Amino acid sequence: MALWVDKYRPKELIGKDGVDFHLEQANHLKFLSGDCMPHLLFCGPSGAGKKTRIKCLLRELYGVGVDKTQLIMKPFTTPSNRKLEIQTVSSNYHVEMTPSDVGIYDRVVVQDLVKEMAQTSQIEASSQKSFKVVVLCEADSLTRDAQHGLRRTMEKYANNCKIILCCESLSRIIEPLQSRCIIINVPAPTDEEMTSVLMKVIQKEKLEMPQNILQKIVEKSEGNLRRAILMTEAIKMENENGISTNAQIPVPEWEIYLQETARLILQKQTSEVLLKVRERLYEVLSRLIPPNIILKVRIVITASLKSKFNFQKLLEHLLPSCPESIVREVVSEAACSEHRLVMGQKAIYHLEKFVSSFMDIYLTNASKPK
Amino acid sequence: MSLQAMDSSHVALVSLKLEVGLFDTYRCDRTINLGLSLANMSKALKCANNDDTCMLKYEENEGDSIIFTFADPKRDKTQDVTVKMMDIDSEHLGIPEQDYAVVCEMPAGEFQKTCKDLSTFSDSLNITATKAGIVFTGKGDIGSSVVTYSPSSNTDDESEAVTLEVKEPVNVNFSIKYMNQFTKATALSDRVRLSLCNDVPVVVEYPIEENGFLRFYLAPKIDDEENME
Repeated sequence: MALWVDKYRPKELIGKDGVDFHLEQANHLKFLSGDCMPHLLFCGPSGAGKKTRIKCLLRELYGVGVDKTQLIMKPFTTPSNRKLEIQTVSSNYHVEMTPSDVGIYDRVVVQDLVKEMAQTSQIEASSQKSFKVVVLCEADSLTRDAQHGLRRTMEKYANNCKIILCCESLSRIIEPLQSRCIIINVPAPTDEEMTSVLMKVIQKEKLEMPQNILQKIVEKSEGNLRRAILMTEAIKMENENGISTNAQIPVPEWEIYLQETARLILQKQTSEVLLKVRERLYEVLSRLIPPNIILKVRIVITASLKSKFNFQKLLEHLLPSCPESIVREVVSEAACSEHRLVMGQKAIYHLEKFVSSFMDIYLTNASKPK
Repeated sequence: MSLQAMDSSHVALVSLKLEVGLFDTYRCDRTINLGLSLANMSKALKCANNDDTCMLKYEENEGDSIIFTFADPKRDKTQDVTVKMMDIDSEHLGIPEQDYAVVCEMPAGEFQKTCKDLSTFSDSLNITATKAGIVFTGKGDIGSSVVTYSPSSNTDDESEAVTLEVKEPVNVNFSIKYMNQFTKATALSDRVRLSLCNDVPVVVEYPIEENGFLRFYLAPKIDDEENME
C-alpha cells in the first residue's frame, strides 16, 4: 500500500520510467555517472525532485542493489563523552544520512563517521565501483563547523568517497564547499509540467478528475510536486464515489490549527493565552512539523490577519507591505527567533519567546495613542 | 548455513559458513533466506545451558518465526523458544576467491594480544610482510610499538607455530578498532589465518571444525600521502 508519491516516482534518469521534467539536466546527470564522478550539490525548493534524481543517479551507478536499504542506527561519541546515535539509511553501496538530526553535534558526525567511511577503500572492489557514495541530506542545516570539517574530507579522499549534498538553498552552504562540488540546480516544475505529471498519475490510477480541480491543486501546491500528488491522493480518499467540480481540496490540518492559534494570539495578549498557545505549540511540534515552518506560517498569518489580507499565501518569506509600523519589529523578532532555533536544542523555548515578544509589541502598539 | 553482513560504515564484512558436517542432523529442503535480529537470537540462546543440544527449525508455511529447541539430556527437559524473523532485504555480495600474496597462520591468542597492545598506541595498524617475517607496527602520539614474528623453525607444537607463505612483500594499513572486534572470535579456534595483498581487503579467518569458517574482511586505510595527487 504505497503512497502515490512513491509508487510513481521515476526510477531512472532517462527512458520509459524516467524523470518527467528538466530532461536536459537528466541527460547531463547521466554523463556524470562514470568513474570520474565529482562531488555533487543538489539544490532546489522542496518537492522539485532532488532526492528522486539522486536515487536515479545512484541506480545508474550501482544498479538495482541500491534499492535494498536498511535503517541502521549508528552510534558515536561526542567530545563530552555523551553517546548518541544517528539514523542512517544504507544499502550495500551507499550510505545516506542527515547530520542535522543530531543538532549541534553534526560536526562530530561529519568528522568521525564520514571521515571513517572516506578513509577506507572499498571492501569488494570488483563488484562495486572504485568509490563509495555518501549522501548528506538537509545540508543547509549543517552548522558552520560541520561544513568546514567536511571540506577537508571532501578534498583529501575525493578518489575514494564521493559526497552528494542535498539542500534547499545555496545561501547557507559556505563558499569553499560550493566550489568543491558541481552544483545541480533543480528548479520547481512549471504549472504545465506539474499538470502533465498529475495527468499521468491520474490516468494510471484510472481516476476521473474534473479540470478545475486539477487546476486548483496545481495552484495550491505552489511548485511542490510532492504536495500536489499527496493532495490528489487525499482528494481521492475523501471522495470515494467521484470527484465533483465543487470538491474541496483538503488543507493540512496543522495549517488550520496554526491559523486558529494565530487568531488566539491576536485576540487577547495575556499570560493565560500564552499558556494555551504553549500547549497548542506542543501539539504541533509533537506531530513533527518543523519549528521553522511553524514560525514562518505564523508570522505570515498574524501579519495578514492584522492587515486583513487574503491569507491564501502561506509560507511566504516576504510579508505583504503593510502600513503598520510594528511589522518591522515583528519580523526582526521572528528572524532572531529563527536564528536561535537553529543554534539551540529545544524549539519550544524560541517559539514561545517569539509569541510573547509579539504579544508585547502588539500590546504596546495598541496602547499607544493613535 | 552461511551468513554475510557488512557493517554500517561499509568498512568491514563478516562471512560465516557452517558446513553440513558440523551438525548432527541437517535437513534443508531448499535454499531460503532467514532474517534474524542478532540481539533477539542471543536472547534466545541465553535460555540454553552449556550442555544442551540445540535444534533450529523453520517451517515455511507456518508463520514467520524460527524455533530454537534446547534439549537437556540429563534431566529430560526441553525448551522451545520462538523468535520472530526480520525482513532483511539486502544483496549478497559475491566475494571472489583471490590469490593472496601473503598467507600467515598463527595462534589466535597471539594475534589478539598483539592487536590489543598496539591499539594502546595508535588507531591504525600497519602490517608489513616479507619472507623474513611479519611485522605489526602501531605508531602514535605517545610512542610506537613494533611486533615481529618470524616463521617458527621448531615444529614441536603444531598449534603454536607461525607459518608464513609469501609470494611478494606486502605493506598495508588498517583501522585497529575493527581488528579488535574481529579478535573477539578467538574463542572459536586455536589458529587464525591472515591473508594479505596490497590494496586489497585483508581476510582474517577463524576455521571452524573441518570446513566451516568465520571470515572477516577489512578494507585497507588510504594513506594520506598517496592520495594527494
